[in-house]
Amino acid sequence: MKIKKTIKTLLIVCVVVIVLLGFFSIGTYNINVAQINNGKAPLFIFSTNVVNDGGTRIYKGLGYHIIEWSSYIENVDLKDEHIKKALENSNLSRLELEELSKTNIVYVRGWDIAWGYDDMSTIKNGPGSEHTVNLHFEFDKLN
Amino acid sequence: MKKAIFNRIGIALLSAVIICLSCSLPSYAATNNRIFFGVGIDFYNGIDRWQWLYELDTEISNIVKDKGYSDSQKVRKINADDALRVLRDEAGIFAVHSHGSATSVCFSNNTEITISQINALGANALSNVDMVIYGTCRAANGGISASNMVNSTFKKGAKVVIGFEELTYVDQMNQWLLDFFKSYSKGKSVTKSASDGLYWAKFWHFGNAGGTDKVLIRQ
Repeated sequence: MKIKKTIKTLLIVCVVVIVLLGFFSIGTYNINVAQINNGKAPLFIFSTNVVNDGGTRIYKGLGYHIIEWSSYIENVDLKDEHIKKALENSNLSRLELEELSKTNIVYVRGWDIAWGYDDMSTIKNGPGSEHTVNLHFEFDKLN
Repeated sequence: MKKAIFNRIGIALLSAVIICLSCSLPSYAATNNRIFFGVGIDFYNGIDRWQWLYELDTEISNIVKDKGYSDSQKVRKINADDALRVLRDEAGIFAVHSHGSATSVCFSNNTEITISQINALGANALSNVDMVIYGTCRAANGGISASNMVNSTFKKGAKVVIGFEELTYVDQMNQWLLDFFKSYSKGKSVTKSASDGLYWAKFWHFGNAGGTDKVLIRQ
C-alpha cells in the first residue's frame, strides 16, 4: 500500500516536472522569437557554437536552437533557392544585390529559430527557412 | 714566398665575396630554411582561433627539430599578401584556423587568399611545402574532384594538403588542430593524426564533431 503511494507520488512529481519544463521551453521559445524579431541576443540559452563561415553563431535553448547568421558569400548565385528566399526578406532588391556582389563580399545576416537540435544540417542548408526572421544582406567586416 | 702570401690573400678575398653574395640572396636562402607557420586569426568579436597554437609549444619544437626546419612562427594577425608570401617562400608546414570557403581563406583586415591566387602560382610553386592545413569552412567543398582550395594547393606541389568539406565550428577546430599536431609530433602518420584529432574533437564536445569529421586529405 505504502509502495503504491510512493510510486504514485513519484509519477505525479515526474509529470509536474515535465509539464513545467514544457512550459519553460515554450515560454522561452516565444520570448526568444520576440528577442530576435527585435534583433536582440537570445535569452535562456545554455550552449553557443561559432562557425568558421564568417561568424555564424548557434545557440541552444531547451528543445530548440537559434541561429544568428553571419556568413559571407563571394559569388552570389541569384538562382540559388536559399538566396532567393533570403532576398524576399532583404533590404536590397535583386538588381542591387547583383550589382554589389560584383565588387564586394556579401554578408548574410539574420536569425533562424527552430525546434530540435539538428543545427549542422540547418546551417548546411543555409539561411531562409520558414522560421527565419530579420534576414538581410550587408557589407561589413568579418566577425 | 710572396706568391704564397698573394694566394692566401686571394683565397681570403674570394671567400669574403662568396659569403657576401650568399647573404644578399635571401629568396634563395628562404627555400632552404623553411619554418612551421601557424595562424589563428583574431577577428573583431574576440572568438579564439588561437588556442590550439597557444598549447602546442613543445610539440611544434619537436616537429621543427624532426623536419630540420629553421624556426617556427605563430601569428594572430597577418594580411593575406604576407600569408601567401610565407606559404610560397618560407613555409614547411602552413596551418591556418580562420573563416573560409571553397574559394578563399580570410586573413586580417578583411583580406583573403583566393583560389585564383593559388591557381595563378607557377607549376610546383609550393613543392617546398610539406603540409598545408586549411582549418576553415568548406576548403575541401565537393571533395577530391571539385574546384576548391585543397585541390588547387595540392596541384601546385604541396606534399600534403588538408581541408574540410563542410562548415566547421571554432571550438572543435581548435581541438582537432591541437590533437592533430600532438599526434603528428610523436611521429604518427598524417591520416592517423587526423583521426586522433577527430576523436578528441568529438570527445570534448559530447560526440559533436563540428564538421571535423568531413576531412579531405590529399597526399
